[in-house]
Parts: sequence; structure tokens; C-alpha cells
Amino acid sequence: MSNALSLAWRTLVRRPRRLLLFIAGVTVAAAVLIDMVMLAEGLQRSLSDLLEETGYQVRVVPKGTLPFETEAAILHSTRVAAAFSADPRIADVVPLWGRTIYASSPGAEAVATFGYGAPAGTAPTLRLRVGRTLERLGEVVINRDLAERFRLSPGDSLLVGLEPDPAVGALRSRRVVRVSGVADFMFAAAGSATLALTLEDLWALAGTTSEPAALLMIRVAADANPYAVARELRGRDTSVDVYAIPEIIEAAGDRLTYFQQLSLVLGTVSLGVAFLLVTTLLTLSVNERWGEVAALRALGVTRGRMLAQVAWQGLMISAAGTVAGIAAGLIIARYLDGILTSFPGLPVNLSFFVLDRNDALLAIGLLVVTGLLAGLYPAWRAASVNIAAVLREEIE
Amino acid sequence: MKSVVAEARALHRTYMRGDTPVRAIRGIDITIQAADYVAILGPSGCGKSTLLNLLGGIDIPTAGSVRLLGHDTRELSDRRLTRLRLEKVGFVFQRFHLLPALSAAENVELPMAEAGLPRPRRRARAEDLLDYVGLSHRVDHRPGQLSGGEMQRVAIARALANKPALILADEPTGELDQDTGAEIGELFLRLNRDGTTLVIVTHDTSLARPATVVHRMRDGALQTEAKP
Amino acid sequence: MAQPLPELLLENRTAVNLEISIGDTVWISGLDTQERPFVVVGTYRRPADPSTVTLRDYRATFHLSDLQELLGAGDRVDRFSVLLRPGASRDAVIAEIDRLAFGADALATEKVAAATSETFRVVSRFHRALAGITITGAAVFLLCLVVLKLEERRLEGASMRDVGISRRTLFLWMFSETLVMAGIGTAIGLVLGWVGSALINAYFRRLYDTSMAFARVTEELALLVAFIGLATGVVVGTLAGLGLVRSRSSRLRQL
Repeated sequence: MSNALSLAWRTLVRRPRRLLLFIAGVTVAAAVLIDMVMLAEGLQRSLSDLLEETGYQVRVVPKGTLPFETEAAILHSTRVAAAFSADPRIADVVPLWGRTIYASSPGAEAVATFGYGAPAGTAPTLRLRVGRTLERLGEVVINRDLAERFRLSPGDSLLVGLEPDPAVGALRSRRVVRVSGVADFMFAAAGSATLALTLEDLWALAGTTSEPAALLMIRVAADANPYAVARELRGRDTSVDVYAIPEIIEAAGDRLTYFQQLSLVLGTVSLGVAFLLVTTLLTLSVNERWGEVAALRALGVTRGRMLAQVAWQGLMISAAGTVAGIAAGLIIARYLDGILTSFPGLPVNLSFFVLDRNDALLAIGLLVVTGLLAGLYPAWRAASVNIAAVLREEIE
Repeated sequence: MKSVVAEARALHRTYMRGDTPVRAIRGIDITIQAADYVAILGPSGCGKSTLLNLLGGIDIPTAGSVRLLGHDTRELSDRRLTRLRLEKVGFVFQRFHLLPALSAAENVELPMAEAGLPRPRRRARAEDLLDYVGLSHRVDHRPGQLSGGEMQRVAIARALANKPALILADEPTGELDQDTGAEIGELFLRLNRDGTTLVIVTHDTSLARPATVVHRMRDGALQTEAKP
Repeated sequence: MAQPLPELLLENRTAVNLEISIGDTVWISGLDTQERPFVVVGTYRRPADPSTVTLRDYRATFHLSDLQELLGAGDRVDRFSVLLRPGASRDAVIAEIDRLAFGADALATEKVAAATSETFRVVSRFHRALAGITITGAAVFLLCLVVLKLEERRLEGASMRDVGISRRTLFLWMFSETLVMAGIGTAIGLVLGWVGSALINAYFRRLYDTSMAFARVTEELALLVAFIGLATGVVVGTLAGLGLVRSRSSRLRQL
């Protein structure tokens, strides 16, 4: 085998410029394949990681919706949360609500922000940067965009209210709150002004008494199975949908069909291109070396060894293209991710291109198998050469 | 009495060129004995190379038989026939057919590597063989750096690699000038004197001159047999 | 005599999923308002809006006053659409509204369109980037094929030079062959693209229950693709042609 390997290598490097060009071709194909594999499930993985990071494994949302997809709400959420909390398998339940809130500071124009409401003392979707989280009524946590816009830091005051009322020339239902901290909001869109109030403050500001929540986040006990908990809660209350994290990703899957289809099509095309490149090169290489192949067979090189030699060449080209393609693919993925993550309204922490170890191995495996299959036809031609006929034709 | 290395009986070989059958060999009987220097002369297209290929187990007869070192070539599987060629037959081609990516020594090592000889032993033998053919100073040169005569010497060294019982050479001086051809002729003569059985197909009468047996071929048949 | 029930229209998918038919009465509540009955007087297909096509939310359309009452929103609205009288200055009207209406932003139609079409500009940038990668790959592929052809032709080319064939003829020989290859590839690519777009549209229209076109091979696009394909052929063909004529015949024969 090592002889076939060594011969395959020496034969390939005989024409280094041509080899490099073909490896470049396979590299482009491999890079596209790697990118498509990263894209196919990238957003789901990224979203799943983000949801997992909150530490809450189950989401309860109004029937037929996904979190914050519509203004639909679970009413009397305190009561619903308390009922869920009674279950010994549930460690914590956090209701969250959100709506547009206007924020203003003296001398500055009011800006529309997305206002979250969470129970005091909880902050499952915040990454605190400065100060502390919400601990009592009348406090607000703001994101860095808002902090920079109004030059605020913990301890400063902020005016919040509902939409501006043209009749009175001021924000409706306005009140002053104190900044307790500055944080990154995990699900906030890049460049958007975002703030969090206590749920009670947000309800009061909105003038609602029905204690609405856009979703309930549930942390299950250490020994409990999130799927089992979600399944049972689903059966208990038919007015809500209950999802464990993988289930919510699956429910959102329709939105991502485009990326999966695109990945499938482009990934398949790139494999096809890699296949054609390797087959073309090796077939031509065998044709060029026809006399040499016949002579080797005459000298006692077996068919199997001949086949192995050409097959090794296919593998080597695809392996080299794969290694270079992974590197190129990662660079291209960063560039493409930069484009796609500029989608308006997309949480800043999401990525479309995520490299998963198993998927990377799958892509590498596909490329190697493609290289091997692509080498089979020329290898078979080399192995089944009619020695006498080729030597005869050469002389003629 | 000398042992028989190869023999053909009532040998026929017909192959197709497009739709036309070509009767290349028409009922040849021939015996090659150990230490013979056999020259087969004849015009182009008379079937010399086909006969050589049949004797070496590269080609299989349409009718009749070839016994190579006691084995009927039609009865051997491709694998066994390939092994027999590797271990017992050396080939020298008109166009040398050295692997351009390998050095002279590596080309000579190739059949030994195929036969499973360990690297240090085959390297030493390759150097000895290159020394034997007068190329000890060209061991690490690639074919592209060698002259035609030198390439053919490397090919001869390669043919000797596995100590074959028979060397078959097909127009070994066909691509060489007269002086270089004469040098290769001398090398063959030395080989034969050292005990190697040789069958050479050639146009070159100077190569046939030292042969112990000379066959003339015309239209697929052996016309004369002479022992000078 | 009883008051007639307020009316609403239901979006098709909502009606189908909730098994509601025209003439049915549905009970709907706002956040802090009592449930009240509405009669379904019709259904409609969701507008073919790319920005909402993937959403699975339920939709209904009310009379404005009914919706305001349902939500307890008083006389509030999200936005006004303003139709100017002929000859009125749009910029002046926008400035006036901004000055008078506290908390309201007046926006020209194209600004609204630009803001709502940002998603599609991103998609467009993404597709252009993919096209760039594809063109690079195709160019490398074509170059590979031409290099192989070139190597195959070198000896022939050398012989032709020896018998007096001009460099110009040799160049045109290689160049035109490459161009023909690029042309055939482009034509096949266009046909595949057209078939592909039909399949894509059929699939996504079915998936999202919409009449939208997701992929379209327009005349301009076909011309652009043909231009890029042939331009690639011209560049690669020139390189290949030069490669063939620049080598000396004595050197070619050594290869």
C-alpha cells in the first residue's frame, strides 16, 4: 500500500502547477460545502445556544405563537406561574412581557425602545455589564445603546412612558425610574434601544390589570426531564403551547427552510463540481500515462495496486482541497455571516454559520468519499488496461 | 541439457483493429532455453512484438499454448500471471517507460518494492544494478535528466531487479542513435555472458549478430531458424 | 330589535386552522377588555409580502372603530396614510406634520419602503456574495479544463507551428474553443437556473401558501449571466491561447 501511496504522490506532484490549480478548484467546492453545512443548521444551533444560556429549559407561550412573535399574551401570568411552580419538578418560573416603551431624558427627544418586564430579582435574558439587576420597583436596566444615547449610568434617572400624546405634548402614562444597571439584552436587535423594568412597573405603565406575559420561562429541577415536563404542561393547559428548547427550534424551522434548501442545493452542486474536477484530472492523467500504466502492469504491478495508486491520487487531491477548503470556508463564513447578521431585528448574538464538530466531520467525510468515488472510474480504467494492445499501439 | 524457460506450440494470435481481424501470429512453435540469446528479426508489423508479449505472459494466445517456466499462461489467473512476470520475467521497452517522477534508483527499485523487498536491500541492489549498467554516477537523476541510452540502461537495470529467468526486449535500440544502440548491444551481450536468458525483438541486425539463436519472422510466422 | 354583530375578515390560513367559516360568530377579547362576538363576513389571502411570508400568526381585519374598542385604545392609531392634493409640496407637508404633531414622524413613501425592505437588501447582498463565490469556482473550473486541453494540445500545436500555421491561427483555435465551452456552459446554466427557479417557486409557494415569486430569471439577469459567462470564457480563453502560442515548438515537444 505504501508503494502505491508513494507512487500516487510522486505522480501527482510531477505537474505541480496543474495539481495546484485542481486543488484550488476542489478548495472552492469544499469551502462552499463547509459553508453550506454550517449554514444548514447554523441559525438553529446559535438560537439553541442562546436559549440554553438563559438556564431555563422550557418556554410557555400563547397558543399558536412563538415568543414575542405577536402581541398575544398569557393573562394572569402570576397565577399561572404560581400554579406551575407548585410542580416539584419545576425549580423556577419567570413570566416575561414586552411592549414598546418611550424613554426620554431632560433636554432630549423621546425614543421608542423595546421594554421588557421581568419579576424583580430575575434577569434570565440579560448579561449585566455595569451595576446590578432589577431588585425593586422604580428601577430600570438599560442596554448600552440607550446608555450611550442619553449618557446614563447606574444611579441616573430616566423618564419612561407610553407613546407621545400629541394632545398634551408629553408621553402618556409617564414616570421617572432609576437606572440600576447597564446590560446586553440577549435577544435584542443590534443597534436597538432596549430597557427592562420590573413586570409590575411595566404592567402599571401599560395600565393593564390582567398581568399579561408574552411567555413563561421555566427552569426544571436538576433531576427532571424538560421534555417530560413540557409534555405534561401541554396536556394541563390547552390555551398555551409548551416547548422544550429543541422543540421550539423545530417549531421555528419553517422560517429557516430557505437556508436549509439553499444549503442542500449549493452543497450538492459543490460536491458535484469536486467530483467532476477529480475525475477529469485523474482520467486525463491516466490517459497521458497510458503507456506507462501498461508498462507497469507488464513489469508485474497488479491490477489492485494500479487501482489503489489512482484511487490514492483522488483521495490526495480531495484531502488537500478539503484542508484548504475548511480554512477558506471559515473565512468566507465569517464574511457571509457578517452580511446575514445585519438582518434588521435579529438578536445581536445570533450567527447563521455555526461549525458543529459532527457536521464538519460529515462534510469532510463527504468530500473524501467524493474524491474516492471520483477516482474510481479512472482507477478502473488504469487497472483494466489491455497491456498488449497499448504497447502494440504505442509502437505503431 | 539446458532447461526450457519458455516455449510456444501451434501459437496463434488474432486481434481486432476496428472491425478488421488481424492475424498477427499464425502457428508458431518456438523454444527458449536457459542462457539463450534469441534474436527475432523481421519487418514492421510482422508480429514480432506480439510474439514477445505472448512469450512474456502479457498477452494470451487465441489458439495454441505458451508455457512460461512450466506454467501454461492461459491457465493462470491475472494475479498469478502478474506475479510470475514480476518475479521471473524482465521487460525492456522501446520507449523505456521509466516513471519520470522517480529517480534512476527508484525506477530500478520499483519491481523489488512490488515484490516486497525491504527498502535498504532494494536500494543496495538498485545501486549495484546501476553500477552494472554503468550508471553509478546517475543514481539520483530523474529520467528527464538522462540521455536516451542512459534511460535504456536504467530500464535494463529495472528488468534485472528481481533476478528474472528471462529478459524480453522489444526494439530496445529503436529510439537510440547507432553508437548508443551499439553500447546497449554490448550491455545485452555482457548480460547473456553472465547467464541471463535474452529474447530480443529488433530491426537492428547488429543486435542479432551475437545471438545464439536468430529467428526471422514474416506475416506472423517464423521463417527460418539459424544457430550461428 | 337586536344590533347586528360587528364584522371581521379572516385570513385564509387562520380560518382553515381554526375551522371557521363565513357566517360563523367568533368571540374575541383584548388585553383588558371583555370577550365580544364578531361575525365572519369573508376571508382573504395574506398579501404577498416577503417580510411576513414566513410568519405563521393568525390574522383578522376589523373596522377601525371596532378594533379600537376591542383594544381599549380610545382613538389611537398606529399610523396615518396621507394623500396630498395635486401640487402640494410633500416636503413642506412632512415638515409641518413633524412640527405640529408631537411624537409623530412623517415619512415619505420611499423612506418607509426603504426601511421595510432592508431585509431584502440583506438577502440581496448575501446572494451577490454567493454569486461571487460561484463565479470564482466556475472560473477555476473552466481554467482547469482549459489547462488540461492546453496540455493535450501542446504537441499538436508544436507540429502545427512547424508546418507553418501562424500563431494567430493557433491562438484563435484555443480561444474559440474555450469561448464555445463557456458559451455552452452558460446556456446549460441558464436552462438549469430557469428550471431551478420554477422548482423553487413551486416549493415555497406551497410551503408558505402564497402567490409570491421567490426566484425569477429575468431578461436582465439572463443577460448578466450570459455576459459574465462569456467574459470568463474570453479571459480564460485569452490566457489559454497565449499559453499555446507563447511556448516554443522545440520546448513543446519535450513535454
